[in-house]
Amino acid sequence: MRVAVNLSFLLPGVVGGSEEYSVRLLRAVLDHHPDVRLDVVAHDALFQSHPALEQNAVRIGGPVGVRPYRILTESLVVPRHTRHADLTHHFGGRIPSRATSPAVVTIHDIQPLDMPENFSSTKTAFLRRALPNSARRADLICTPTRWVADRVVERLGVPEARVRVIGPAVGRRPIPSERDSMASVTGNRPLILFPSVTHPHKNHRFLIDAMVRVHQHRPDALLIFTGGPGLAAEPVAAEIARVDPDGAFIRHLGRIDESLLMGLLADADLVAFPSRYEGFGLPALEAMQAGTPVVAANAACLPEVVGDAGCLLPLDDPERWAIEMVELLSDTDRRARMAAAGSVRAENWSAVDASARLVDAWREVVS
Amino acid sequence: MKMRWEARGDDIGGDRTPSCQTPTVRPRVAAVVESCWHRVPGGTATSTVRSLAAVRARGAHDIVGLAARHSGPPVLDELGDLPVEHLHLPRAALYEAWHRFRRPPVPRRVGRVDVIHATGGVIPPRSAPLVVTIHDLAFLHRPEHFTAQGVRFMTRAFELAQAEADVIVVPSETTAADCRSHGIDQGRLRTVPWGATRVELGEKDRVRVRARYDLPDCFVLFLGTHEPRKNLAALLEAHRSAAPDLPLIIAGPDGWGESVRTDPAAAVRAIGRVPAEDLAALYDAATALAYPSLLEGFGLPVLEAMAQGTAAITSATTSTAEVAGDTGVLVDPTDLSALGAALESVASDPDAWVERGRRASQRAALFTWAATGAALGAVYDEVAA
Repeated sequence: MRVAVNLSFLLPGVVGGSEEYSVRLLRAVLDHHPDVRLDVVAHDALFQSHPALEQNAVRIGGPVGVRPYRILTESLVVPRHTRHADLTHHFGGRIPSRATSPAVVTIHDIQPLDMPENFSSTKTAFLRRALPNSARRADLICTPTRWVADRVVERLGVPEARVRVIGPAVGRRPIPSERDSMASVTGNRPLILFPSVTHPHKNHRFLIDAMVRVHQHRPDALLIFTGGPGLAAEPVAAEIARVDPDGAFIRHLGRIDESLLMGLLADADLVAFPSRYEGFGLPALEAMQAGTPVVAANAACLPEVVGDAGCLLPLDDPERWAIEMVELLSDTDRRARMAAAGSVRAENWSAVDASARLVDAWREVVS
Repeated sequence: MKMRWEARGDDIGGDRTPSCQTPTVRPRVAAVVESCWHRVPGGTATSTVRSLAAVRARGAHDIVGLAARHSGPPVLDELGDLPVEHLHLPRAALYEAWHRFRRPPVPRRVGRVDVIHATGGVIPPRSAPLVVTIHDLAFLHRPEHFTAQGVRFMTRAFELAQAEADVIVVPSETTAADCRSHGIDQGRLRTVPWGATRVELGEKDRVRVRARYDLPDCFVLFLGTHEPRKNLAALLEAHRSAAPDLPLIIAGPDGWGESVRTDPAAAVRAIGRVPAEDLAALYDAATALAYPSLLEGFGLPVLEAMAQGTAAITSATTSTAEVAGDTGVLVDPTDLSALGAALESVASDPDAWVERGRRASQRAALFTWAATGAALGAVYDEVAA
């Protein structure tokens, strides 16, 4: 089977979760299904970041940082390279207007429709037409969670039978064995971590509010944010400066190396996920793998991922989050039980399973 | 259905070949060495690393240590070149995952495994024949000496051992009898006593240690973690009433539930944890060892003191009686007057204790780590076959 893969929407290091999801899934297909040929169509920069995908690379040049240019190349250039394939899989949530058929599309989430206030009006207007249009034309739609699948069915009016849930192809990322330079930041203080780009829906300010209350009971506890700047970067920074001008209990480290992040995920006492919207929430799964208890919002896909292994809380009451986190920080037994349950639950997702499901979906379309 | 080798997951290193053992392949044993990272490693850790080293010295088994994820080196730094595989979970979570969910499987981390050895405490899932060492069943007899959480943990470990162990290794007849009376069939029990190696001391070592701890000529030594089971309070009480002038040196780290209050007026002095390199000379300098533990699985300090020619005042009612035999003074550890009389005999007749010490060192020569290694290796072969 020959599958053309459209990753031309990807700018390495910019979109975060969906890059991670797409690249890992495709690598798992290459690892576990040598009979499938992948022709990856993407901008040159992507292959530089992910040489594993280079095998049958179709490179697109040009000013990739310019969104209209990317949209134009998707329609004009991508179809030229996909016509020899048995099918084309578009990982960017959208099927370009002149795409070859059959076509499969991965919709990571439909946040621009669910939360238009977080996006520019141009982008929302564009996607409001493009998403339902793509969904209608797709032979199959893949989503990372059942929750996104349900949103797609409800919001885009797609029949359930055309949607497949393909979870992320997670391996276990290595955890550095020695405490490294992070120790100088964290000391031996109880550590709450939220690794996430500062987008509005990630809800950093809610966690800051809860942390102010935690601080009153546990002045030794430290909240660490990691992740690059998003659309809410300024208000988040301003809020941190307002409640904790000396950096006594909240630190924002910005984007950090993957190995440092894995070390922090493993060393943290709690990982908190106050997001209002997540298509998957990979760091929650990675925290569970590393044996770190997760406190997450009872929202979006988080209950599906974290389940009964974590502590799920409604997003209407920062006081309740604070109480729960203070209790957890002092209850080693409960943290160990949650960590154990999380590590066992994390085994539900694997690269072998995810790639097998994806290849099955492709075969279904081709046959 | 997943192939066996596929189910190991994606983070394994080492041997990837599927398990199809030929007679020329040495059995691969994964043994838990987590106790080396305990805050107070104690006899469990010491006996584990020395037993494993003795098995390795015979060259017939591949041993790999198993431990939780740690950010620092082990507290008991005697692992030498033993390869250790760290599972990805920290200790509390790993123990919980193993005991509650019986996951993650050991082979996922270490590849092919022919024997899994739970060396005391946590019981990994039985993904290969399982050997479990039970040091003692103190938590059943004296739960008040443990935290509630500790009792829950050890109860679960004992249940798992009963249900899943192919062979249960015990260090003494005392523990073997205790296991039998708690429902473990004799057919599954193997008694593998520990060993001690006599350290040949030079005059320099003797002088150095005597000066370092300011040791008197004649004194009684207590050595052990300060916890209720070691019965230190009774020893101090007996000392106060029967032989208050006899110097008593208390060595060993603070455990829990009991801190030593030394009376500056009495001849009692606590010297804290003693580094390994000073131990032999400290035993050698002592006139007698006092080790009136209420319950022991073996009682390594008694044997180590004997190896250096120092006999023990110890319990007649637990495993230390097997170790000391007729070289020690065996007393009921709850009988303060008997304990007092034994201490008094050290003060009144030190020469008799020199003679006891000579016999003790002869008896100690019967217990060697080489013998431990041979017996444990035979257990591995038995279950791997």
